Amino acid sequence: MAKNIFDSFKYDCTNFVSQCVNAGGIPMKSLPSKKINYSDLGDVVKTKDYWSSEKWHIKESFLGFTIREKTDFVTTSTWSVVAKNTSDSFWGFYNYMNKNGASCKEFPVTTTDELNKFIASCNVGDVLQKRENDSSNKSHSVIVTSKTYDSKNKRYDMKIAYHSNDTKPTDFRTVSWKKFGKNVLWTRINVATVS
Amino acid sequence: MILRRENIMKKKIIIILCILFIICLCVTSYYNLIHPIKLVSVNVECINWDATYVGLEAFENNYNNGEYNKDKTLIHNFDGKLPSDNPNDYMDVYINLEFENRNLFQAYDVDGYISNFKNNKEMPIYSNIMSDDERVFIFRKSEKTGSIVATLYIADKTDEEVMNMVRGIELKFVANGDYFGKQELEIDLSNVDDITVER
Repeated sequence: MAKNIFDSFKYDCTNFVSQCVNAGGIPMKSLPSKKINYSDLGDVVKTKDYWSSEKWHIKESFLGFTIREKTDFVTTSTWSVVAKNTSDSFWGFYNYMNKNGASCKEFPVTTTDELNKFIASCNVGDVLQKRENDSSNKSHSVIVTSKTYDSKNKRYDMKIAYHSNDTKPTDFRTVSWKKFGKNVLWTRINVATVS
Repeated sequence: MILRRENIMKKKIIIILCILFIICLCVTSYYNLIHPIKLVSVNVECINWDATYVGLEAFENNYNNGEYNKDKTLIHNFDGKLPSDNPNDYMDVYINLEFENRNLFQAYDVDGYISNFKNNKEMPIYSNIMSDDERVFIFRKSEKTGSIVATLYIADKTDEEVMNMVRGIELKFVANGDYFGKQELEIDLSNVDDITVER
């Protein structure tokens, strides 16, 4: 997405949705400068309290002489990690948004009825995260980019967008539902209520 | 006499050290240069569920409009019209793979696709390339999973015939790393036991 304004990662899905959510009006909560070390430049800072991805410049000197100097991104785990795994001490996007007022609900989406209910409950700007049925850890984040009502079939449809590969907004019902598989649970994160 | 024995011992130690060094070199080269990516497990789920036909109808429509993802979709047997209107005549095959990166120095992007169907060649309609949704990026000395999805026209085929088709699948993977370049891996599913059929 916004190249040079934000950092990019090999696992880029949550970094991508965080950029969308931020562009949609949820402000960053920046890391205070005293919490940033030189080694954090270009890295992910593990945290529960902040949500940001910003460029920082750090210059270290001794007796007036510059020892080292660097400018790079510092990104929080809540910005770039899907959710806290059972073994993690830090938080991901889901935990941060949930704590700060997002309305979150998990849906099984195996039958057409379940799919219809799920799409009806989603809104543009909602972040969706998937979890395999046999795992307690969420593994992927996508964002809802459009929602329309199909009056002929009396049901809603929606499109989603995601990274790591550049993907055009994709219809959830006809393409993504099948692709992501039957053994997947979806969590809807409505960030509009984040304070 | 003693001096000669010491010389022999010295030579033996040097030879042993040389052999150990060569073994270490061979093992390191094998894991890091020749076979850094290892396939740890494969399981295959063959399912007919609500999304199977919904997805196929959309694929038919998108194919005829030229809107399907041409870079990530392999067409096997499809001329623009589905062979049947019965949703029960189709099945999705999810080939779930787990890879291990044994390289000590670098991470790899792994991509894969179905390169051949040896049995029941008329069954597959289309399949996707593994990194369709998410990149399969494996950090050094870690594991990562990926999936390939194929859609079949099964009509009146039995579960045994579907499993036979799965066992005839050949897969090709390409792993790209920054320092050692491209690695290729080919596997067939003839010995895979973990295949389930659900309809």
